[in-house]
Amino acid sequence: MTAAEIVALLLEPDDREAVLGDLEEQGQPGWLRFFAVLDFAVRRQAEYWRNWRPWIAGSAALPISLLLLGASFHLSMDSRNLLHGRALQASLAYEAALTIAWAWASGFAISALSPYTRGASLLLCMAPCFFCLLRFHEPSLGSPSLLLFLPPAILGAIAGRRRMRIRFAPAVALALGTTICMLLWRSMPASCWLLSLPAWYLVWRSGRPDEMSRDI
Amino acid sequence: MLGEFEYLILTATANLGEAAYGAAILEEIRTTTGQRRSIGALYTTMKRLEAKGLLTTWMGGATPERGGRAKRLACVTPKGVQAASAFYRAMIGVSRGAPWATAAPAGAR
Repeated sequence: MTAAEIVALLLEPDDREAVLGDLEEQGQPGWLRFFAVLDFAVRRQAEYWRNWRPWIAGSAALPISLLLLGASFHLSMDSRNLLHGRALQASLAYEAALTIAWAWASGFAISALSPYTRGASLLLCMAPCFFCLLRFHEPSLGSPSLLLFLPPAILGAIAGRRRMRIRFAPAVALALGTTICMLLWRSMPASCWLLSLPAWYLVWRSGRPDEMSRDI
Repeated sequence: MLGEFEYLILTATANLGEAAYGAAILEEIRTTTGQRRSIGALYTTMKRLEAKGLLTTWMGGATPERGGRAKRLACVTPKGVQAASAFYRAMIGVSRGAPWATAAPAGAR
């Protein structure tokens, strides 16, 4: 793999195909190809960031990631307490369902909001994860317990990346179900209310026309 | 109103017809104007033109001279033709009476 091909990974598949083919056809030397592709990738990103969407997605990724880390931690602690008979099973079920729903909806919303700047959103999401993993010292819980939210978040992000749109009824069901679970889970930290926003964003999005979206 | 580079791309695309794609458009601009533009500038501007509805692009077939990679083919839309015509008329109109428009070309005497 050449340096130009590596940099071209920053581009969308069709752009990558077209630009590498054009450079091959022009017979440019390797280092010129590298700078041409780099120039293109920088211009493309600059173009994307002229819109408000990447800024909102990036600003949301960091606090949502922190809140989901906290939710994963609480879920792990309560699961451990359940094993010692110190927690109600119903409360744990709400907590688990909410963590999955929050993570999936957040991943979907951030990814769908700005699919072409997902690298930056991913970095802003992973930064608190690495920070917390490095500083996490709870002998009874392993570090991966902080990252319980990642699998549903990744699945949500993949769905959002494909620009799939949830139909109105399932979107409302998800948002309402999440909100009701939050009302029923009395010991939930107040800051977690922010995590209901992505699910309501999906409701708003489901009612908007988007030619590139496919219903799921 | 179009920008200068946008106009060049629309004109080169229209002139090339069915053979309009990235490398060919750059070559057409280079041979007709002497300007060497980067491929990044071309594709970024093409995307902007597409967003404005002035150009449509699609992926074509792969060819061996391109290392088996596909071309991004382009076509000017009716709205693009209108925009390019308006730009051309504006340039002709505004240039009327300008010294470089009325003077005999250098070396003509």
